Amino acid sequence: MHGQQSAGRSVGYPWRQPSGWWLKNSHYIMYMIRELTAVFAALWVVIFLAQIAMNGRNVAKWSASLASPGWLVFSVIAFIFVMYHAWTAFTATSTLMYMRMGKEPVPAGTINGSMFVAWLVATIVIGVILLTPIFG
Amino acid sequence: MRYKIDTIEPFWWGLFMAGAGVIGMLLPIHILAQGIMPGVGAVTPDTMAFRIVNFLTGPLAPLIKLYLFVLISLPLFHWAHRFRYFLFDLGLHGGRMALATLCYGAAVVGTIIAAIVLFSV
Amino acid sequence: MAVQTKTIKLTVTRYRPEQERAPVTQSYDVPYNEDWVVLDALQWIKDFEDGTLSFRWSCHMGICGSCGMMVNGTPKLTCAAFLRDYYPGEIRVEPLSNFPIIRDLVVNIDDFMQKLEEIKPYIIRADADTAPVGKGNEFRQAPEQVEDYHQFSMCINCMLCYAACPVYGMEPRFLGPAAIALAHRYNMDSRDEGRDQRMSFVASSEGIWECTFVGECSVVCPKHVDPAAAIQRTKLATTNDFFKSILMPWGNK
Repeated sequence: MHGQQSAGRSVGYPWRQPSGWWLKNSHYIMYMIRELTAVFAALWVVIFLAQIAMNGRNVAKWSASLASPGWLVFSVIAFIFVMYHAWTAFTATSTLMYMRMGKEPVPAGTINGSMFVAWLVATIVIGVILLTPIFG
Repeated sequence: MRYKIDTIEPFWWGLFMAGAGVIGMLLPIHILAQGIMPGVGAVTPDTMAFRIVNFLTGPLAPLIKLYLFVLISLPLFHWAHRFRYFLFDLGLHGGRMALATLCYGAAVVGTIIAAIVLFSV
Repeated sequence: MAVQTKTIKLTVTRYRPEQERAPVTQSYDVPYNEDWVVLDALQWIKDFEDGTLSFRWSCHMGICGSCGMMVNGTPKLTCAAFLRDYYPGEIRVEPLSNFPIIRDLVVNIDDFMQKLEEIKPYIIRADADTAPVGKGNEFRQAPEQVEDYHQFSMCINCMLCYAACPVYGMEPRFLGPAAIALAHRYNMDSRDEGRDQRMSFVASSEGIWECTFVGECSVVCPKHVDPAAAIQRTKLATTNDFFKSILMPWGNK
């Protein structure tokens, strides 16, 4: 722990991290929630995988899975967490990527905005594929 | 590399970032279309079920299965990396190697299972 | 006619190793003044109430980085924390979190000083011996090239970011926000050729990889350095280097 190393002289009263450190301010709490989003994302894809494994090519079984109230409730919760993940990830893009082309750096708003645009495009494309009869 | 570092952390972080992209960009619409809309009746479960089976068995099935493989595997690696550090944040410090093995190992196992399930459906 | 002076209560951490085993608190009623900052209140205490109170300070204008302390649980420069933002509530003044306490509000910053040195915070040139900087051999740098690193050069070494970082709080070996931001400042400087020398240290397991992007370092930084950005960008650069060396192993000597 801090303050333990010593060159023969006093280094001071040692610091100990309190276990509830993340409860101390709202930023830390939101950080912990952001970290938790990964659990819900992983759980949702794992359950989806389980559905593929158990239902296979059986339409009736798939129909029952999709209509399940538990699946609906879990999906709503997962959706909220995954959207929060998306929000934090997209708004962090400008922090992660610095781009200067020519004399001016690309503004943060432009970088983050393009992530949202990409999300919209992906959502529409996949939404059309999944939800319209275009592909059967 | 032009310089040496004492860790393969960049590998896991790279997978973590790829997973972040998949989760942020692709997962919302899948959760909405497969998880929420059938349940609230915005699309009938029968229709959705029929479509899913069509996707898994139709002419584009190999492509779709590859897409699903990525959709399922990368979030697992994102979870593994994030969860490992989440446990550090909660104060768990002993057995770093064991923890890394468990988390990334679970993601690898999940990936293998996904490959097997998708291949044999 | 007696005028009622407004006062504000300051509760301050005291730690005198010669008389206490562990830190305690002591409260003082300090005259309230609209223009005063917490540092003024501490100096009033030392001048008129209790000369034994120990704390670091210097410029009183937010540039020397000496007066960082926890004010109501938030790392702040006490010369920039106005009493009026807390009045009439009580103000809790504690030494910076995550550091050992030497005495009262004074923390041991040796770890930080060592880390600052280790990241080689100076321009490194391959031709330093054969073509030293001087008349006729000058570095040219366009304004936009200065823009690339400028914000990261604004660090005043106040260590508020270390106090805000929960990772540093738990793992003292973590290189930390300011040190990595300073390394990034030099890596982004077009005059510098020392990135590879810094990376073996900065991109080690106790360097950037301990960071989980809590982001509080950038929130508390009084000079808007954004060390969190420096760290994430360094992660990206190192990861690019890593995958390039695997996927394109030629020509990386």
